[in-house]
Amino acid sequence: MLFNSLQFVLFFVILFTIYLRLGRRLQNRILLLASYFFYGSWDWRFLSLLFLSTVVDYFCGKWIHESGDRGRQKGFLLLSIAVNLSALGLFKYYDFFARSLQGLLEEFGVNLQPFFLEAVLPVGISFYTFQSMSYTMDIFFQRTRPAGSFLDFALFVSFFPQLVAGPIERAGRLMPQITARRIIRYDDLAEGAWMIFFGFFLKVFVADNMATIVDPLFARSGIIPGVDVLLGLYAFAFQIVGDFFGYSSIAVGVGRLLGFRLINNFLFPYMVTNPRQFWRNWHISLSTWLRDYLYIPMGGSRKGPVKTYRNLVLTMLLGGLWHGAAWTFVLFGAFHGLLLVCHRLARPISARLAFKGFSGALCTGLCMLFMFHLTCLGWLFFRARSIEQVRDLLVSLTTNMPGHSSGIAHRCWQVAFFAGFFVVIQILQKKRGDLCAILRLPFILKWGVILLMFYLIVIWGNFGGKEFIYFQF
Amino acid sequence: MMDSLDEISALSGLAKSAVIVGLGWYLLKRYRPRWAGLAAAVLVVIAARFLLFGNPWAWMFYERQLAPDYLDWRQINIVEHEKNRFLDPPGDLEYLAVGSSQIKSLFALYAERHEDLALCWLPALRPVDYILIQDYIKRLEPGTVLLHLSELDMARRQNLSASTLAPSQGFRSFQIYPQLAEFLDGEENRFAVRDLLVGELLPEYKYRFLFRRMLDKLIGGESSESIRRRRAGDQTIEIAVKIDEFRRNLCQEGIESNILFLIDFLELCRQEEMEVVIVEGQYNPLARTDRLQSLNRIVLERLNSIADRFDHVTFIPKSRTILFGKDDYIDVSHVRKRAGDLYAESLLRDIRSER
Repeated sequence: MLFNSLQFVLFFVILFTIYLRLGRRLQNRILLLASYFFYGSWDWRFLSLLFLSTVVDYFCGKWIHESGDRGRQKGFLLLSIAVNLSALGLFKYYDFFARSLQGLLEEFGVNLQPFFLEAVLPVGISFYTFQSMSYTMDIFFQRTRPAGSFLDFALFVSFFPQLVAGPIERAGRLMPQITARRIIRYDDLAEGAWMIFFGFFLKVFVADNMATIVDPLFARSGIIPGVDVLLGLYAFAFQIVGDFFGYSSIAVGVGRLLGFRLINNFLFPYMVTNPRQFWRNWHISLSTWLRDYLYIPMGGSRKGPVKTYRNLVLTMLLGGLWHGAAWTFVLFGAFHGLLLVCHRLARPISARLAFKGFSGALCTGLCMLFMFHLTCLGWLFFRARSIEQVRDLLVSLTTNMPGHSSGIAHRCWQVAFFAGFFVVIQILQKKRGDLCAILRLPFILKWGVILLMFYLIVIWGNFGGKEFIYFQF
Repeated sequence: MMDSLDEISALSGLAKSAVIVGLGWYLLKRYRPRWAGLAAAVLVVIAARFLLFGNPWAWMFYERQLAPDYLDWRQINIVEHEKNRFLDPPGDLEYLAVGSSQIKSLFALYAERHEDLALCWLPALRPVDYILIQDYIKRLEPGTVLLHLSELDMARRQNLSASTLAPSQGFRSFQIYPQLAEFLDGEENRFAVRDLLVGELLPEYKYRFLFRRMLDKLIGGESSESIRRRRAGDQTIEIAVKIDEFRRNLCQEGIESNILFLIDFLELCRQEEMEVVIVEGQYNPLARTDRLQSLNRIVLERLNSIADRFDHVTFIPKSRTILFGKDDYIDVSHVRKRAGDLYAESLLRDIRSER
């Protein structure tokens, strides 16, 4: 059931109508039922996996809290992590590693025929296992208390707006909202509706239209005109932000209508001047998860520069691999890890430049442009179908520029048209530091912008029902 | 046949709309409810709707700006029909030939010279479209509706994707859409019904091709030349390719569903006191196959029984009309202008002499 489908609209309208008439306890029960129905509508068989993760983490969390012995607590924590990572590893990574091992051994003349699962990846598994795991870890590190009721915890794991593609919530933030009485005010309704509308705009106007430019490019093989690659990367940069930011916005908006405040997963990801800022604005719930449960436990930046760089690269490598079981994602992670290292190395230089006056608007603009291009380069690894395609596209970019490409002017206009409105809205949002900035504009301007977006969606929206990219993760 | 613009009624329509929107605006200003912003936005949408679609000048503008080069397939005809809604209908129209581009190839030349026949055609028009475009037909108030049907029309599997530009059905929607919902098999049909439903509420969505093509024209999208070439390509598809398409898309179940829509349309004609003449359609003999012959027998049988059942319906089998040879065709179903003209003259003479 996609957020951008009529089924979801119908599902939500029915749920919301019933929900508003119930007390908190019943609201939680119906949300749990709706969440299981929502997840089961993809493939009901994987409900068992979701349930397993819920049961294991609920009891592990409880036992960690009740046990006074640190050793036993560690044991329960390891049990929780092992169960979650086993499910994730089995469904998501087993075939990848088995195939990679087979390929490696073949290089040495060993013919290994491993067993392949060829299983369908359960939708959202990377998101809910991370969310569920963070619960036991938070209890272990005494950042949160265990859930009072199993059903409330089950809702925490399966809350449908953020179940299949995040944001990855923490127990410390979501559990109190589940257990508290909910008051839905006019502002919640207005801001929730805006976030849904904005998300829908990002998905059907920006992302799915960009996909029509991106998909043909990445379906090609061999060396192609460099200008096509460049334009395709620009288009993909906006496709991915439209798709994932769009999904997250709808999730936040739906949550808000139901009386929950979910974390904003995106802020202004292309209006940043360095990779560190990028990860503070892009997929925030994952980057903070990786920071809190991987980077800091490994030592973070506390153990000298070399170990800091190692930790950065390792964290980003695993972050890349989190996206998907493919070497292209490992490259994506490595690329961003190296960017973070380079940024750290260059910090004294940039500080010196800032001291000498190189910090005006022009300088910031140039840095943003530079960072945007680095990000686009990262997207090349992310979107490519294989390592061979990465190589071909990089060669195309460097040796076949601009190259002859028919209809390039028209495609340039298309990219500018579909991205332009988003950029303008983001500038306004960043200026006011608020994703709901449009709602704070003067009456005429506010409704003018909303109407313009409405017409853009209706007239230029792509309603082909394309899945969200992050569902595959 | 040239219709004239009914400027008074077009202007009064716009004035009425302005009054409605103005009244709404006044009430909002006076009472200032909390949801005033949303209501104001809805009023602006309604006002824009009148300006964009609720007057003949807008449609004339689209036609002048986009047709024929920047519009494709059905779009040209839809713009023309929408514009025509605001024109005075021709009085005392004797015959209205309704159908696909085949109808155009048969009757266009005759209709240019005679005032007793007009055409209401859309590319790839199917029986389901008779119901969906009934407003276009009713507006012309013909004495007799002329349908041209062969197994190529009647045995075709339902594909609603071509019908999504049909005019708004208003209150009829409650009757028509449940009927269409029976044909939700396949993604294409599901999207088509969704588009039809959304188009009922949002004409901006239905007619979005106008604005998309205007932007394309502005930013140098697909050139008119390439569209023209593609359109020409559509008409001259090789016969072998068409035969393969017939094999995939023509079937006996198609006949059953098309008959249902045809019967609905015939009922409608009875209510509107319009006679109906169904003429058995022809197509290039080179495309004839055994399978098509057997479908032809079923279609003939069904059309005959329909003619027996309805008093206002006459069925003319092709054996009673001029039979086209393969040289008369430019492709599978479109005849040369001259051949069509001879056919139309003879057919209408025969129909008149029978009465």
